[in-house]
Amino acid sequence: MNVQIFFIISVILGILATILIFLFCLDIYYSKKKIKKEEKEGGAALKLVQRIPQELEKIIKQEVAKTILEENQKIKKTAEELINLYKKELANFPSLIKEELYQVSNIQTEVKEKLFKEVENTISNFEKEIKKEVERISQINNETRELTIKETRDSIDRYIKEQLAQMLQDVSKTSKEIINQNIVRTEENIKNYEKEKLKEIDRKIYEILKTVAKQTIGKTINLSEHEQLVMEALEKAKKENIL
Amino acid sequence: MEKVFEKFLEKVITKEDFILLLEEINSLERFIFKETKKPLSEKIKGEVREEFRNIIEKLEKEKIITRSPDQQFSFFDNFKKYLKNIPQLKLEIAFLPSEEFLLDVKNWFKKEKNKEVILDLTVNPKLVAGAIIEYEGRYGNFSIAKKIDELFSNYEKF
Repeated sequence: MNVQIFFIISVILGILATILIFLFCLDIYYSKKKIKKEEKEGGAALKLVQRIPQELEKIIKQEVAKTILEENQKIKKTAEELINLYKKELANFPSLIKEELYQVSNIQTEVKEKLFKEVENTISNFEKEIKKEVERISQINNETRELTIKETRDSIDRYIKEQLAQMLQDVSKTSKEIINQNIVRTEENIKNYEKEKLKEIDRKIYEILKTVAKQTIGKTINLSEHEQLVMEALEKAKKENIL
Repeated sequence: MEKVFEKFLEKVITKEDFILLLEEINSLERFIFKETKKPLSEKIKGEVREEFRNIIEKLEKEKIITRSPDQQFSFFDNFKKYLKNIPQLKLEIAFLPSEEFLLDVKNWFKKEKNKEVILDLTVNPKLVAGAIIEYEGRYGNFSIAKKIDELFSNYEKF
């Protein structure tokens, strides 16, 4: 981590030095341009003065080249150092990574285990809660169902009882009416039957009596009485204008 | 002529007697135009009842029936017409009557109505006694059975 910061800072310093050099060169350029202008305006006295910037420029060029070289070398050196450090660091990096990874892995495992445990606990608790809830709901459901069934059964029982009572009442009433009607009809039928039977018996008795009477009388009448009765019949027929 | 015909009817009392007489007349008529020289009474010997034949013989002697077949045929034709006009008296009685009793009935009728009658007789013991009489479409039940029925029907009403 520190190596990376150091590398970034070196790069930034290099860039700043390059900018400064560039600005210095730009200043020299404008100064020279101003001198040329003054030479044109000032005359030959200035020719000597004019050499100074050239010499300065030369010196500056030499100094700048030297500085740039030095700086380049420094930068190169720093870069090399940085590269070496980086290489060193990189060489150590797998083990570090490994260690880190191991640590991370340990942490992960721990976290994982913890998480698992937490999750398991949570799930377990949740399951328990759900189970409890389910049991509670089931109990409530059972109770509700039993209550509903009981109420429905009670309601049906009540309804059936009421209906049955009503039906029994109706049937009883209708049955009584029918029975009474049947009794009246049967009594009438019995009376009529009795009358008919009595009439029939009377008729049979009279038939028997008639037959007995006819047979008895027939046997008691002799021939002369028969003849006399025929003659009397003829007399009656004459009187009744049949003859 | 009716008096002559009545001689044939002296012994004809019932419907059976009457039918027999008609059959004998029909038998006799078959001999009228056969052996015309012989008397009819001789020709029918053995063919009809002797009693019937005797009446014809007697009428031949009295010249009521001549030898002429035409006259004979005419005589019996008229006799049949007379017989058809004799009324029938339907008599239903409870006992089997004697011939004398039936003759008494016939004579009574002849005396009361002054005409011949043929008795159409039926014996029905169910009448007990008395008679059911039917004459020329008129009817009367004078049986003892009817009187007994009436007696019991009066009781049945109560």
